[in-house]
Amino acid sequence: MKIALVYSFEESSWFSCTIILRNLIKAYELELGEKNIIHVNYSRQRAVNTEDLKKIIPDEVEKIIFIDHKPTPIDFLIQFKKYNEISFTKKEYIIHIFGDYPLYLVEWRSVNEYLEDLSVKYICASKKQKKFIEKFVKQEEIVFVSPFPVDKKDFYRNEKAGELVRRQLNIKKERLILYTGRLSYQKRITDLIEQFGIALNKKTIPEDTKLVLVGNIDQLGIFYLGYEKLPGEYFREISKSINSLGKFSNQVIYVGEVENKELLGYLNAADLYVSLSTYHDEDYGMSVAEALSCGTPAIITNWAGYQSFQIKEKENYCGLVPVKLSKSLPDIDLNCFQNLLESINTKKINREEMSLNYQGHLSIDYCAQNLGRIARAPSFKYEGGTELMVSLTNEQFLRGSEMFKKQSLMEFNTKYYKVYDVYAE
Amino acid sequence: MCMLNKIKEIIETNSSEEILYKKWDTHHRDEYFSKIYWSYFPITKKYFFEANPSFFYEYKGLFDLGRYPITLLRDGFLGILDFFLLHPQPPKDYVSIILIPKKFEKLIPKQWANQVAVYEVIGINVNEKAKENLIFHGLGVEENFWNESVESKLIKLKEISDEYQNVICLFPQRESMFSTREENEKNYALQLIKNTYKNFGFEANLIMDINKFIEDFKFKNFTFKSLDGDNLFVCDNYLDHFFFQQNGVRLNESRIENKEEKLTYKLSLNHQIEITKYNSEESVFSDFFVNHKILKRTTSIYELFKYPEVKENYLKHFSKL
Repeated sequence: MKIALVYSFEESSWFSCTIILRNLIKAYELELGEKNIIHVNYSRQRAVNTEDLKKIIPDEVEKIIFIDHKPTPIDFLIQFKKYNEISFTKKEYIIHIFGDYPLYLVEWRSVNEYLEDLSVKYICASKKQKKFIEKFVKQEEIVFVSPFPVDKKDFYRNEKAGELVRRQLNIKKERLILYTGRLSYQKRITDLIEQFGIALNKKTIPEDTKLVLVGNIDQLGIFYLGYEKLPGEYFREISKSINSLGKFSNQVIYVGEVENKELLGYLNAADLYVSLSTYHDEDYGMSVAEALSCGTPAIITNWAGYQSFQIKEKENYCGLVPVKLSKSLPDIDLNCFQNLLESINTKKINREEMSLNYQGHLSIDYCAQNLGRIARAPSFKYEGGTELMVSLTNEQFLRGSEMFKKQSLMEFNTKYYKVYDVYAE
Repeated sequence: MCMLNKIKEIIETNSSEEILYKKWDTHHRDEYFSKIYWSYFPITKKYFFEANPSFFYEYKGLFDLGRYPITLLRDGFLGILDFFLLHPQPPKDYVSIILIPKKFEKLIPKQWANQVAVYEVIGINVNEKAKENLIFHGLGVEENFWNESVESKLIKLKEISDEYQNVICLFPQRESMFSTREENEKNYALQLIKNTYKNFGFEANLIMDINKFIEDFKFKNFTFKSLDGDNLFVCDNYLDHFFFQQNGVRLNESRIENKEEKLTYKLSLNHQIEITKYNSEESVFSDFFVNHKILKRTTSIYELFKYPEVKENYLKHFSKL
C-alpha cells in the first residue's frame, strides 16, 4: 500500500505539534516502509506544489493522510480536485484530528462538502475526542482512536538522568512533584500552586515537598470567551500565587522552558507528575504521555483526552480528578485531588514496569501497528457533517471564537462593591 | 504612609479590573497619536504589570488618569515633558500615583513629589552564552538620532559587534510621524540601511519584518541593544520585555547597585521592574517650563518635538544619559 503524508515542512509554532508530527511520520514509516510513503508539503500558507500533486495522482497511491494540525485540509483538497478531479475522487482520505478542530469549524464544514461521498476516516488521539468529533460527523464507524505516539528513545525510565536533575535543583530525598508543559491560564497553574500550599499546610504531603514547574508561560486566556492575557500577565499571577504560600513559597521552583532532551531528567527526577488542566481543547496531553512513558505516576484531571491515560487495573499509575462544566472554567473536584495526593504511594510503584506498560500503549511501535490497522480497515462513503455542526458554524461565522459565549452578561464592577457594600452588612 | 508603601499596597491588591490595560476598549487621545502608536508597534505593544503601564495619550486627560490608582507612564521625554507642562502641579484632590521612567526623573516638577515615584526595567540574569548572537533593533526615524547621527551610531554598533558570532540588525522601515516633511526627506530609514551595509558589509543580516521575526523567534543565547538611546517617544519599550522574556541580555546592563530603598517586581524569570522614591534635588523642569511660558508655546508631543529650544534643552540635560 502506498500513501501520501500531507503536512507542512515548516515547523509548527506549537512545539508539541512538532513532536507529534515527527513521531507520526516515524510510526507510518515503521508500519508501511519508507519507500511506500510520499511526503507532500502543504505549507502553512496553504500552498501545494504541482510537482507534489503529480506524485500522488497514480492509482497505486491509495491513501492521502493529513497528519498536521494546521492548516485544515481544505485548501489542499481544493487544489487537488482542481488539478485532477478523477484522481481526487479515487483516493481514501485519512485525517488526524488535533485539539484545535473546533477553532476552524467553518473550514471543516467545507472539508465535509468536498469529501462527501468519498472514502474518509478520522483519527482522534483519545476516546473522549472521538465522542467529541462524533458530534460533528454523522458516522461513528469512520472515527477511530490512536494516541499520538511517544518516542521511547526519548522518554523512558532513567534513574541517573533523574538524579542529575535533582542535584541541579538541589533536591535530595525530598518528594518532588512536577508539572511540565505550557504554563497557561486554562492549565490551572495558579490552582495547582494553591492546592500544593493547602496540602503542605494540612500535612497531607511531607512538609519539605517541592513543586517544580517546567515550561513556557503563554498569553492564552479563555479563547471562547474572548478573554486574552497580556504579555507577562500570567507570569505575574503565578508569582503572586507562589508568594501567597508564605513560608512555603521557596518550595515552588519555576524552571522556565528547557530543551526537549532535558525533559527526560526532570520526568525521572519527579516522584509524581500533576496536571489540573481543563484547557478547552485538551484532546490528548503529550506532556502526560511523556511522563507516564518514563514511569512517573501521575495525578491529572479527568478532562477530555486525559481520561485515556488511566489503564484498567493499573489505576494507581494515574489518578483522575473529576471535573464538571461550569460558567467559565470547569470546576475541579479539589477534595478528590487532595485525597489522591495523600493516598498515592509512589514508592510502592515499580517505575520500570510502569514505564514499559505505558510504552506498550503509547510508543511509536504500538501506534504504528494501530495506524496500520486503521488504514487497512474497510472504507465507508462519507455522509458529511451533522446538524449541530451546521448550526455551530453559522454561529462561528458570525461571532468568531466567541461562538460559545453568552451574550447577556450583566454584572457590577468593583467600584459598585466599594460603595454599596455597607448596605449589605 | 510613605510613597513606596502606598505603591506596594496598590500593586499587591490591585484587581485586574482596575487596570486600564485589562479593559480592551482603551482609546487614544487623538487620531494622530493612534497613527504614531501603530507606526511604532510592537515597540508600543501592551504588556502587563499591576501598575498599569500605558502612554499618557491613551487617556483623555488627568481626570481619566485619575480613575486608576496607579499608572506607569511608558512615555519617553516628549510625553513626560508634555504631561508636566500641562500639569505643572497636581490638582489638590488628586490621589492617583504616577510612575515616571527614572531616566526622566529630572523632568518632574517638585510640586508632584507626593504623587510620583520613578521606575526602571532591568535584566536579572547573566547568560554566559549571550555572546553567540547580538540583536540591534530600532527604527530609522529622526527621533532616534537627536543625540548622534546615523553614521556615527552605526560605526559604534559595528565596534560593539566585533566580539559576537552573529549580528542581526532588526530595522523595520517606518516613516517618522514626528518629523517635518523636510526632515522626512532626509530619509533616515534609507540612511540606516546604507550605513548598515557600509559597516557590516553586504552580507549583513538585515531584517525588516519585525512581526515575523518575533513570531518565529528561536534564539536562545543572545544580547540585544536598541537604537533608541534618546527615548524621545518611548522609554519603556515592549521589545525589551520580549527579549528579556526570551532569556536575552541587554547590552551594558551592568549597573552600580545602590542601597536606595526600592520595590522590585519580577516580570519574567529574567527581568524585573524597580521602583524608587522620587528625588527632587536635580529637577530641571523649570528650565523647560520658563521657556515654554515666555515663548507662549502650545503643548503636545508633536509640537514639542519641533520646538528648537526643547531640543536644545534636551541635549543640555539628557545627552549624556
